[in-house]
Amino acid sequence: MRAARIIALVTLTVIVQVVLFPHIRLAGRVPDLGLVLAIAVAFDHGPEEGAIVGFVAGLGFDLFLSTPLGLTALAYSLTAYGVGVLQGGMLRAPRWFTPVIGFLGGIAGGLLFVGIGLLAGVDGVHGNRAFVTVVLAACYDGLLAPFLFMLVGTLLHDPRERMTGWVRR
Amino acid sequence: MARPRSANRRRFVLALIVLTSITLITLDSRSGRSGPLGAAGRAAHAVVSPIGGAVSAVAQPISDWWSGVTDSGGLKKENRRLRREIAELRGHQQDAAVALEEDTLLKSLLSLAQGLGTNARPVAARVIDRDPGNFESTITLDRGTEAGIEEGMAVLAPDGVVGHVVSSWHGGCSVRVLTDSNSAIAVRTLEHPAVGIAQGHTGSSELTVADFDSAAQIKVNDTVVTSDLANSVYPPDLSVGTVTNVDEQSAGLGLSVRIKPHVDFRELDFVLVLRWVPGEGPVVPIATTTTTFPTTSTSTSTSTTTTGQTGP
Repeated sequence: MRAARIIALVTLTVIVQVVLFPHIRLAGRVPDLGLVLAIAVAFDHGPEEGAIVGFVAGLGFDLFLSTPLGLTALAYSLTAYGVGVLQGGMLRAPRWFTPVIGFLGGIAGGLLFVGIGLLAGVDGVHGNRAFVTVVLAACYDGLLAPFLFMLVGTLLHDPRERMTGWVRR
Repeated sequence: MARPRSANRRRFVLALIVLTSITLITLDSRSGRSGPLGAAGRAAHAVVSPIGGAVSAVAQPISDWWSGVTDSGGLKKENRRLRREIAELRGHQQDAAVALEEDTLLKSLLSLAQGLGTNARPVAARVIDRDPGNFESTITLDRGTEAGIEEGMAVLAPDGVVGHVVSSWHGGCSVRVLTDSNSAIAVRTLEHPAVGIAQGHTGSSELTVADFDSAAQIKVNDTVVTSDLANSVYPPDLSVGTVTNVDEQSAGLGLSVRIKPHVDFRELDFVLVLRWVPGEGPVVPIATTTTTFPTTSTSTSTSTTTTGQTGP
């Protein structure tokens, strides 16, 4: 049941990313909705689930991009895994932390995407403009992070787990 | 024991994900989107496209609103820039329209000048002012004595006679147009041999000839040109106007004829001043019918014979 909800959430996220957010750009950039979802899942449910969600969401998004299939998936999953691992060392996350983690995760995911893209010989990830894009998209990610964290906390909530605060801790 | 196994599992999952991703990247980079991976992408597009179309229709107003919110500063700036550009372009457009109009006028004037004889010695001038008073019909030109313009010289427009110079100074001259009440010009009809003096009247846009011979067969729409009466300040055979009304005066005093000048004196912008001197003969080629210059709407006429000049 929980797996079905995750699959539904990932699918919905990819569709929303592909059909809605191209119309709602911030400074000409779209957010990495799948990345923020993966970060939220990793933050809530650990690095393993975060990495899997990141991989699936990234792979879904890759289907609509001209960059090599798997590039976004790898960037998202590595970022989510890293967030999940780092989160393991934290005791409690305050409310204001979700935008920050969304922003920092966006930066990390964007840089990973650019770095792997450079290694894979992808055009269009060179130069300062790529980094500006990463930062602006990360800002957008930070803005959306509270909503996605809340969504993940609500939909993937396990009643057996102890909830303290706005998101799980 | 659970913790190491969980950590191993995590590492295994991560390694699996990384390997899968790298494999996919490699395969996709090598085969391009024409392979099976590309087919998956096309299938995904096919599934999502209908949703995208529907969402796009709904999201467009949201998108517009969002753009307005996020780009409001830029939009205002762009709006100001575009308004400034529009104003400039409108100015350029008007300048271009004026230039085209002037070009047409000057071409017709040039055509008129080229159609005149060498004795006409035309000087082009721009109309810079008109009618300083209520009871006179004069225009002021931007060229005067420095261009050899002197009192009495005839002034022509592409459509016909305008009037004659009544005063000239350095840098300008004043021209009394045909409709001025003090204007008198020797005219004759082109179709029937009859000579008379056409005079202007205050407040009227027409000329009157009161002394046409009563035996003359003048009819409405006859063309009137300058006459070759002696001492006329106008060269003969220049277009003046068209007969609009013919009345027979009582007691055998002859015909009273009203003439509508071909020139619209209110619309003059450029004219030719003829530095022609009475006695130098006609300035237009002799012809048997009315001649229209190539770029003019009405005519500067010529006639069968031109001999001598007379004055009003």
